[in-house]
Amino acid sequence: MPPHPLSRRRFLSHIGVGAVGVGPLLRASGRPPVLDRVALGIVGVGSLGGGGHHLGRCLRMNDIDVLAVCDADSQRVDRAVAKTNGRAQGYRDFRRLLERSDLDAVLVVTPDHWHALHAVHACEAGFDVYCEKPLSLTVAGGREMANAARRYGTVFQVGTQQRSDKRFRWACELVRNGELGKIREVRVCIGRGPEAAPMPNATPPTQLDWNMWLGPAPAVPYNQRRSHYTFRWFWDYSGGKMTDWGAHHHDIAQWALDMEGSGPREVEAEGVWPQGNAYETPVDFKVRYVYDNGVVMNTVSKGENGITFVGERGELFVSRGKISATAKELLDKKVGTMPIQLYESTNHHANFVQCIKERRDPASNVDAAHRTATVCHIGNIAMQVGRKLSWDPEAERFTGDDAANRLLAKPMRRPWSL
Amino acid sequence: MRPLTTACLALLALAGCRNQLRPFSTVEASEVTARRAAIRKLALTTTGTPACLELDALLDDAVLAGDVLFALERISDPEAERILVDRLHRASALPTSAIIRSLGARRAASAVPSLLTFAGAQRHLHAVIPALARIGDDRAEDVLRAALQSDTRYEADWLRFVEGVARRDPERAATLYVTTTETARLPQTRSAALLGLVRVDHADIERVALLQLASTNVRERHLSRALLVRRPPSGLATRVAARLGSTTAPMRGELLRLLTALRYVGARELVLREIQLDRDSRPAFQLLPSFDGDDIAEAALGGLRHERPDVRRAANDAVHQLAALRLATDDRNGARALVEATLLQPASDALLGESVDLAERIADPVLLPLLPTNSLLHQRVLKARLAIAANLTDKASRLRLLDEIARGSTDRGTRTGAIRQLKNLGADTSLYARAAGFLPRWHVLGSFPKATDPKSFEMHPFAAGPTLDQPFEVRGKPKRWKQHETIDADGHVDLTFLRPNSNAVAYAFLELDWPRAEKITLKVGSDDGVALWVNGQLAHANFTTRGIRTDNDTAKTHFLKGKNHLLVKVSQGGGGWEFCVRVADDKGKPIDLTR
Repeated sequence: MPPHPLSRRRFLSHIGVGAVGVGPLLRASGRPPVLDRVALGIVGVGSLGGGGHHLGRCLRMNDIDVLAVCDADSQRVDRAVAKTNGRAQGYRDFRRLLERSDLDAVLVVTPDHWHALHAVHACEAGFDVYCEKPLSLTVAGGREMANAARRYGTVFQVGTQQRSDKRFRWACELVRNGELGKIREVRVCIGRGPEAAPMPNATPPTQLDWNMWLGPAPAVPYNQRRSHYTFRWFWDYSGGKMTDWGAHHHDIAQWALDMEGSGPREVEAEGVWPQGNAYETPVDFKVRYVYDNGVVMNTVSKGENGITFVGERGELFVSRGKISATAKELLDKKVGTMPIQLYESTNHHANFVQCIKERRDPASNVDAAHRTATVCHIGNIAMQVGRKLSWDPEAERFTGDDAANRLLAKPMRRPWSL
Repeated sequence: MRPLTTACLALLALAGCRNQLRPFSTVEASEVTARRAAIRKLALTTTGTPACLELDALLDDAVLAGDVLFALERISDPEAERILVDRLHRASALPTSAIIRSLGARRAASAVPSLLTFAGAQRHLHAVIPALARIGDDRAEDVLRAALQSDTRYEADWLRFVEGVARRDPERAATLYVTTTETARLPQTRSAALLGLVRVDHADIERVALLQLASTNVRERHLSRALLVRRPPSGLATRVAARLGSTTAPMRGELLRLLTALRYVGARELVLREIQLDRDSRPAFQLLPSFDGDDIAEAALGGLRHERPDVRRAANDAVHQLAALRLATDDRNGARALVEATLLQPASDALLGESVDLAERIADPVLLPLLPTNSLLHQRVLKARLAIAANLTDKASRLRLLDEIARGSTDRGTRTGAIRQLKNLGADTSLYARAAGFLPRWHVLGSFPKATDPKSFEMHPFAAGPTLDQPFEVRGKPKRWKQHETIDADGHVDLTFLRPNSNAVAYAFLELDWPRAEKITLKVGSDDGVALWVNGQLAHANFTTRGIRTDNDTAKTHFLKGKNHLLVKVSQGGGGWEFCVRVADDKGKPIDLTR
């Protein structure tokens, strides 16, 4: 293995001291000393992990050193290594990356079917974790991840970065502080699922280790539609729009409703399934959730992307870049000025790094993200079984529906297991 | 028809009757993929012994065995579990370890005796141990404990098992967690055991956490300290302070860190006392920036003269951090006093570089003579000098210093900063760019609608040459050539002042007197695309989208003796919009245009 730049962990081991805990003190150059920098490995360096959202952002941050990147696609690994000017070591097998002793944290930016394995093994290897949304492929997988994070005291950030967006926090604080009165309904609009013509199976590109890409998912021949970005429209790897955008907007809904540690009690759904389409997940859908307190959440595919809270005093709409209300005075109270104030973060990555230094929960902690992902998964399951389901958030099981419960977990292809 | 297909069809028929599954045609069922899909559907819907037995039969088929295992792992019927346990001792197309893992995933208590037998015979341990840990049966404790001590890879399984015990018997789990903190070899396992103790609310937390503070592993120390800070047992700080006198030097450092993080009222005095006593005082120096006051600064400055280099470095670092904090509160004089000391007594070259950077931020002329002449730090020193130059009151000295920086720096930003100051002082600044062959003075016209293809990009509307004093009509509106001089050291001409400045093109023109006819290399940089005409002839074109880099492209051309006309066309999508041209000789060596 080539020599690596001095990382925080290696530096501390070398000089034999721990982090001081006196806050982030910058060096004169504006770049914190090694002591205050976080050494990262990124698993999954495709368009998201290796692009501007993760790798690019990390490279721009003074207190992050990207020392390792990993992907089943060697071309992507090479590209990512080049972006780090050769500072990062490239891997095709995440297990080799997790053997590194000089990393502090791992970013998991792989397809959803890999999240649980990557994240749990990273926790077990003693790393802090930033995992892209949706947290999990299944409810059981999400529970494993949350348990592992708690077991190891992992700082676990989930990529539902709307929590670090002031507008969403403002909307949630308005709801939590009763500015809309009693909430009757939440309307969540997350967009339609895509359609595309099927493509024939083919030989995988030479740079792609298809078996590794599939990992715990069932063995199938390579098909371009299944790999890379469009994996999210196949049940074996993801959950369609419900988990793609639903992971963001349901998260905000749960946050606003103070349901982060729980979930709805009932769910019923109908979906329009793709016809002659390459993909498996529904194109259009309507999902109706009912919470214990009577609040109804309607998740639909059509309409303006965003979340509408319907309360006794009016409606509040929030989306990326927009917040509006039926009555202007509903927006009189500004974020951070009301009695109930929510977790403040303005930069998701910076929040993660700061929480590593201070060993505290980040803005999108794993427990809340697991509950959010669960909302998405049970909506999908209701669509698949086509009947109204009764959900027990404490037991994380459907009541009296064996067929639905079987969809809460997916077996892993050997040798992968948790 | 193959027997396998028959079996599948039978299964499908069964499932179809029971669960109204869509019946599969014979053609579909003949495909392996379809059979796999059928089995997966069965896994989600079917129940009952007959269906499980049919699946059992398929476990002998190498092609479908994996899919059947998927199904049996998922089917909640007890018969599925019985089949899997039975298969542990019978041949199938699947490896035994795969079946064991499925039993673990099902948390199959009935498999425990068989798994213990495997463990006793040291067979399939890599699958048996995780499975036993998941099942969480008390009978497995001894086997798991032995595994914990034999191989670090089983430590995660052990923790999972103890977590299960904690749900049934917290007291027992606490004992196991304490044992784990003492015996586990991986620091993350010891940390996890400490967290486990917190979850079961055990009285031993403080003792274990303080023990882990002495670990050689950073994360373990960090986590135990964070835990104690987050949930400090009553009277913790007092007890920790009392231990300070009777512990080893590294542990004293950890305890001081803990007291500082706990915001213990006496922490400040204890840190200063540690420095006075000088017993491996490096951690104390590291903690100094947590506090404020003149005595803190004095203590840090005192450390700059310490005999041990590592302590000097820690003290130097502390002085820097204190200076940075003073700067953050606008105490520029206070910061200067500290940096003066570190410039005079640097603990290392790296720290001297930091001092220079701080001097740049303080920008006090008093620091100018103290800046080092170390050649490795030359460029950073020039940046500091540039910042200080802005605060010099004597114009002649300032001009001299800026001229030195503009000529001496290799950093474009520093050179441009010096040139900007020189321009503000009324100096002729074009010579700095011209000395390196750049062309800083142009006539600029624009903007025009963007060309859509390379062919049209390689054309311009000035067939008879630009007439600089005549307006040029763009979509019925007259636009005039504007004189523009850049102060950029690399002659980068920013065009974003033109409107519109997205999806557009603009022209730049200059007339250059040349002493003789000769071959010339023109080095061109642009954001985005660029086309270049020399004396009416297209010399170079690159219809692209990119960010500018000095000398992006190279064009070979020739100049005439006397006047030469250069016309540049630059395209713009969005964002930055600029170009630069440098004149070099035939071999590509930049020509000093001031001569």
